[in-house]
Amino acid sequence: MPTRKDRLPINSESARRRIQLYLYDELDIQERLEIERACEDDPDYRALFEDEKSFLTHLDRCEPKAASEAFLVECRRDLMRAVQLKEMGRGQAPAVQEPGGWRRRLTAGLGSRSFAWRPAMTAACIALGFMFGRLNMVPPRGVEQASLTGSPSGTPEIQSVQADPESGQVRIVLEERKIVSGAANDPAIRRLLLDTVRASHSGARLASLEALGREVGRREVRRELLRVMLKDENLGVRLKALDAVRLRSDDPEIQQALVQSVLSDPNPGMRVQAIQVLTAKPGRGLAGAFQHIIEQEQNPFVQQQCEKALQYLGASVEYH
Amino acid sequence: MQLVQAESTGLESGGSECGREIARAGERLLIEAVQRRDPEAFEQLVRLYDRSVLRVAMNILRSPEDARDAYQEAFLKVYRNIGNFRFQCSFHTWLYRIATNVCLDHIRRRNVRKEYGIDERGPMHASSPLQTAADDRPEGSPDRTLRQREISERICLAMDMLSDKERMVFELRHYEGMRLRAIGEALSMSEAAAKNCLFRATKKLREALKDAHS
Repeated sequence: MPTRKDRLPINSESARRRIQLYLYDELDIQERLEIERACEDDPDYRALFEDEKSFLTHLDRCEPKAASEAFLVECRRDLMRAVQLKEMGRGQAPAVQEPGGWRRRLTAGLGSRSFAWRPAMTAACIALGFMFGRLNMVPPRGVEQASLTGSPSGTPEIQSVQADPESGQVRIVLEERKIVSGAANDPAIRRLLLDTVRASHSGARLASLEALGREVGRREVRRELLRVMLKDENLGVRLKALDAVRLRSDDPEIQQALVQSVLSDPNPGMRVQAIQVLTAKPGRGLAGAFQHIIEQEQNPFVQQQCEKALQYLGASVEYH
Repeated sequence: MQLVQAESTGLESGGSECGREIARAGERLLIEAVQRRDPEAFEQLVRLYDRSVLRVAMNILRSPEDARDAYQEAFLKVYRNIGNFRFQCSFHTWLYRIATNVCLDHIRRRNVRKEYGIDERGPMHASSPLQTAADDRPEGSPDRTLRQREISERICLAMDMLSDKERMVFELRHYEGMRLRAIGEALSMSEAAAKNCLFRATKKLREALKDAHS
């Protein structure tokens, strides 16, 4: 047992440091045991330990500002768009070339030291900002826009204005809404719908799926519908995707996904729906798949539906 | 923060060893798919980590707009360079190394702009509700919420007193639960330097929050 003399001076920085590393689990086992022993032997050391622990726990009360779900979704969508652009060989994503770089270079070049330039610079920046915002609304090159009829719905909404009276600099955050309408088979509309299916709330996802249903013949749409059918967290959305692929259930890719859905979807209702769609246009090897499903399935009702499907297919049920 | 306590069950950090093995194997498959340029796999990989990358960026840069830029820049760098990732370190460490470097670059650029009298970032508290609004969190009494907010604001102010590196080390260790060795790797510093940074950060925070904590 360590004597008082052996112990660390409890107010020393090093004692706190060791305790902190203990609490962050950054010490080896020997060092950990030493601290635990010191806590048992010395009430002052224990008090210091508790103080440090309570301080670090106190810091947890300031959960750092987390991004809201909406902001995260927005960032994710921008990122995926930049990746898509990159893949399509349409040039670099703007963020890679230092976001807002043009503005910063402009202001760094002109406005830094010459005070007289500042009000003029501010006005010019605002005007450029409006212009740039307008230009940004144009879909990327290569996306057909002839059939799009889009219009801004009123003037831009100002979210915030920050002015620095000292420097004359103003920062205005604008939010502009745009209504876009067009045929569901328009490539630009289709891209928007696919983006919505990937990143919006469940209501918008449902509506987009409904619109995309007519485009199930297209590979990119079919793949997205199947992804949603298998992976979306919302049952209603998964069912809507299932409904959208129903008309093409003789497609082998869709049949494979439907079997996967019966095998893995957590909801029995969804599994039964998938069985029914599979049975409507049975493909080759479906009896074998149903046989496999019966062996895996735990839910008696779903099992019964599978048996019925097998009977419908004229196959017998084998129990192992 | 994951404080280690004597009565710890060892499960706080995300389940059994077996579960972690499975997760690691799944992550490896995902990374290999991204290396083959599978965009869906990339999206899934992004979804695994992007919440915490964005949070770290927001707390290091303290400006949602800069955080948004850093987020995109970091993941695009990942996408561009993932072909060179050889699984010699964890993907998590590699990603954070990229993300923290991107944040440091932003801070450097910002300091240069500041030097010339141009600072475009808005303060964190002036960010739009879309950027920082809490999502469906259970709410306590108004008094408690107010008190909580006051404490949070005080801690945020105290965090402003830290140097960029101190804030980064503290953020990654305390809130993200990264090991100091990995933080050192990510920030190109030794483990001992990361320890010193962490200790300096908590010391400054303790002094700044003395009365609030007591």
